[in-house]
Amino acid sequence: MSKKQDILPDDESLKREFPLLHSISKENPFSVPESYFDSLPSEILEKCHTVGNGSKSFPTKAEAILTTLLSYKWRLLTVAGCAAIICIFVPRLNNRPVSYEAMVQTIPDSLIVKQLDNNIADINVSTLEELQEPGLFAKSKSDSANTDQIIAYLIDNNVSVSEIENEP
Amino acid sequence: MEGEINDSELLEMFRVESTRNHAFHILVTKYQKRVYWQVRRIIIDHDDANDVVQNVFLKVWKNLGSFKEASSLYTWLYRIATNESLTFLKQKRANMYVPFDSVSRSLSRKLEDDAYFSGDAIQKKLQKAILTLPEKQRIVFNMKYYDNIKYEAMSEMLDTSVGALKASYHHAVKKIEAFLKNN
Repeated sequence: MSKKQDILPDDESLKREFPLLHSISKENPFSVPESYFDSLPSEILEKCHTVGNGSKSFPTKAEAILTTLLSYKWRLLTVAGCAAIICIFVPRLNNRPVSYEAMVQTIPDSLIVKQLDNNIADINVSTLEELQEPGLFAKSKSDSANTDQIIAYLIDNNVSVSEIENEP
Repeated sequence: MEGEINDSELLEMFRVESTRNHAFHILVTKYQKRVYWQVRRIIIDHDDANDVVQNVFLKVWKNLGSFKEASSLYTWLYRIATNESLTFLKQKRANMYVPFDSVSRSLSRKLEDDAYFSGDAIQKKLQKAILTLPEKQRIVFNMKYYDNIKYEAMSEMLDTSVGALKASYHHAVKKIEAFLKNN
């Protein structure tokens, strides 16, 4: 027998040299769903018409990568959107005044004075005399300074306007 | 009868718009099983094989009009089926970001709980042995062992010399025998 023929495992040589392989049935061990081949031609033809020329039914590697990136893109956009919302609202929260002093600072003095004039017409002098700052009610250089001090006192000591009004 | 139309007539029918669909339907019906099983033995999983087969015939639909008949229609189909199967495995490997061996192991695991594997334990072992072969060697083995395709035809389909195919098949058989003996 020539060397070339030795390379060819025909049935007899297969049986002799490779007994285990030869002993196994060549019957197809795979199966398909029922009626698979009956419907396959129609399915394929429909796909050919749906996809048309020049496009592909299944993604190529580039399209698969692009699809993956796009899926991550939406996640990133979601995260970016949340971050943007946080960035928009957190500064506003931070800008809210946290104390009465800070709140009062934002209100014009004229408005406070007007409000006080309307609400505390008969302010009790003795109460005011308890102020630790001397000369509080002495004629000051400017009315706005006295007003500021009155306001500051009222706020600091949480003085109720109604209490003042009700004092004898 | 559809089965009596030869490939040349099919091609003629396909080139005419009014008979294209009918010709293609006949072509798919005629070759679907051979193409499917060629793919299935490489891809293992039925659903994946179905996808690849549909891709194969989609390519055929797009390119049949320009098929120059340098080879037989079946040879051309087989070549497309082989290339599409190898491309599928390459994509699978790329998506897994793991080396070749893991794809083989993944396919081997699919055999364990595959609803469309009806072979016995020894046949399953044989399939696992085949999966240990390099992809192209696996294709050569399947074509020769199961389909008994002549080396000359195989050479045309795989664009490989007859001598290389014979050597490849011989090595494949030896490896499989060793696997069966050791497992």
